[in-house]
Amino acid sequence: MSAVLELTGVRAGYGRIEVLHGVDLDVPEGSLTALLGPNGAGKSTLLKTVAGLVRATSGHVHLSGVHVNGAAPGALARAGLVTVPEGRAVFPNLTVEENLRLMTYGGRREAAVRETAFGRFPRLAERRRSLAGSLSGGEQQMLALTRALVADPVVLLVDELSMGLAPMVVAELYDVLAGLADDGVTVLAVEQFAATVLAVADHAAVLVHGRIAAAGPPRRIGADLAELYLGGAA
Amino acid sequence: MKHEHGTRRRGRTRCRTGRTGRTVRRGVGRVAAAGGAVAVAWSVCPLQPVHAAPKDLGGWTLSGSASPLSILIYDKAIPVPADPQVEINFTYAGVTMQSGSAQAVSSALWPGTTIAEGLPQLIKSDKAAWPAWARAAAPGGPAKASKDPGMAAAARDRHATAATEGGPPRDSLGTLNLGTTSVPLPDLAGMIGFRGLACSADGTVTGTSAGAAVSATMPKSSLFGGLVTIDRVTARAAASSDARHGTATGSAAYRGLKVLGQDVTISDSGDVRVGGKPFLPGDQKKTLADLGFTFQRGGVKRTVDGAHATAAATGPKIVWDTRPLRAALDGPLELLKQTMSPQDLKDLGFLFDLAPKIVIVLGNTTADATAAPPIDAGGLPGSPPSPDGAAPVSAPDAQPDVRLPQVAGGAPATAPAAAFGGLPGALVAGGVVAAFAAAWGLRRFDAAMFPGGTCASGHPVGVPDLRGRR
Ligand SMILES: Nc1ncnc2c1ncn2[C@@H]1O[C@H](COP(=O)(O)OP(=O)(O)OP(=O)(O)O)[C@@H](O)[C@H]1O
Ligand SMILES: [Mg+2]
Repeated sequence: MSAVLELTGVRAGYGRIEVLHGVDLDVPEGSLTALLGPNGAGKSTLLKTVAGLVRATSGHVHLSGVHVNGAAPGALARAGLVTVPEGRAVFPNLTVEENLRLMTYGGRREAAVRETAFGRFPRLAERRRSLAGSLSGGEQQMLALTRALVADPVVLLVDELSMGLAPMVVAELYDVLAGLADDGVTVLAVEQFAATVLAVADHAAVLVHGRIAAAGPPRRIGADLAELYLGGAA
Repeated sequence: MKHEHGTRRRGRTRCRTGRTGRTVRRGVGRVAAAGGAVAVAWSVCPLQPVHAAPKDLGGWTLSGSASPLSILIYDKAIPVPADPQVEINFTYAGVTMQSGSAQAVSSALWPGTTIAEGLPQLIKSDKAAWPAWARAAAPGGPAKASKDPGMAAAARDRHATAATEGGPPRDSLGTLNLGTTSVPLPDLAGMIGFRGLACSADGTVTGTSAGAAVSATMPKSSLFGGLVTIDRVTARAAASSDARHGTATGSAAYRGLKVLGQDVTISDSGDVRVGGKPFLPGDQKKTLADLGFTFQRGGVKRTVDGAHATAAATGPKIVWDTRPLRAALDGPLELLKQTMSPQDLKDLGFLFDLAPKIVIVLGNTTADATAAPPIDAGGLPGSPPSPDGAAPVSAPDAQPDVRLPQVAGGAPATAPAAAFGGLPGALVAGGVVAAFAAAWGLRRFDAAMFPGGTCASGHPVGVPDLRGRR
């Protein structure tokens, strides 16, 4: 199984503050890989670095064998690297349908967008005339995921899908991500709370203080998690 | 860990021409083009035939050192009284032997004898220690020493070996302990993108001869973000003495040298050529010059003076004068600034004025040997080892210029610390860190400067066609 996304010795941060202190991480093709870690560990920074939003000061980000440090975020997105950022990027004052229509902006057919949305998330069909701001957190997240899916991702980066959501909804969303991975999409999912994502993930890694503290099968990582978080805090 | 000294010490028997005397077969011995790769090799035959020797030697002094990748930094602003001011060897093996004593050193990252061995005296602190080395010595021990990653050394009375493999590890090599303060050595992964560096050094004394043999190998590597790539570099040097005559041999070869993506050779005068023609029309040539890069071909140097022999063999050298690109060092130096205390900042202010000339030697080997006849065999010719036991070493060139020192990599037999009256630890640390910063600076132009090239680990730079591969 080859790594479609490979980070080697990646350092990155904001101005003078270095957040990632040499991250080594392999994300195998067609896998759902969970990236766990406590608050402030640098998980979001890692995703931004891969997406080209934060530039690595050293090390290598290799995407499908190509060194992408310094590549423009837009170019990466067009190539198939799609991000679902932390928090829900939906337009609250537009209805679900209007939100979907905006997703045709990249030249997608509206029918295809609706099929993606309603096929994956039947609840969105039920709420299609509601304002997005009035949706539950889970439904908003479904809408946000739809935006990523219509972009036809090859590599999908997801930041804290579960934030503020009930466990049931989170499980449902992760089932969708697992299904995508089964279809060959490479998914890197950042989570602070581990149980749900570990249940469906193929691989897991733990980021603590800007370094990968452990990586391996989800079951093993899950068992060691408390220790890893605490060990990192010590 | 492989110890290959058995074959190397007899390297001279492989010299096919059988020529002796003063003729030196030097320069391009063989040029073979295969699959776009250009192979260039030098080799040198021994100057002297092997003579009968007395039954046992009266005394000997020998040394050898090898590193596949040396970075020598010349900048008078660095207050380390050595020339070059700082060196960093990525993987190093060295042996030194004198009648009755032997030492072998293996290091994944070697800052030169001056700093590594002299550190405690240099800054007058017993606790000071260079972290990344294994050292064996006889007498006194330890007879064997090893350390991860890939460092091993062994020393007995008449046999010393060091072998180092793998190159610097991904993680930090540890902490440079300066007694009162300690300096973490930076993580090297981001600086140097190669694996599989290897080198070895061997010193052997028999009843009839004393010899040092060293070798260094650098596998496929990419430097300066793909500006320079090379498939392989090997360098070997051997020197031996039977107390009457010295013998020096060496060879250096490289394969598949590419500059800016083109197969090139380097001429005697340092011209980079493509298929015999001058390299690079217009733009790219100017690019190289603007960046401050020049090349030297390397080769074998040897001297035999009676019973004393010296050999130095190096692969290509890349000289980078950072003045045109001084700004490239700002980033690393700025980061450095943030980690320093106000006092250190005061001591190390010089760092921020650095514009070093950096010489990168791919394959850097030297060997030196001399032996004296047995006392009771009086009347035999040959020069005895110098009275202080140190091997004679040519004075280093005082000019921090394009010319390289004859014996790069230092002469381990010289007493390093004695040369200093004691320096503040911060200054020494500063020099070392400056070298790292410079090495790091090397890596800062990759994607931006050469968007069509490869990164330091050889991957193409750009944006992949993710959908195309489905
Ligand atoms: N734009 C920014 N400017 C400066 N510092 C930042 C910025 N964004 C994040 N940081 C800092 O970088 C560190 C890592 O932040 P990051 O958001 O990557 O962590 P995280 O692992 O995603 O945390 P969380 O689980 O809280 O989302 C934190 O200390 C944070 O304060
Ligand atoms: Mg985050």
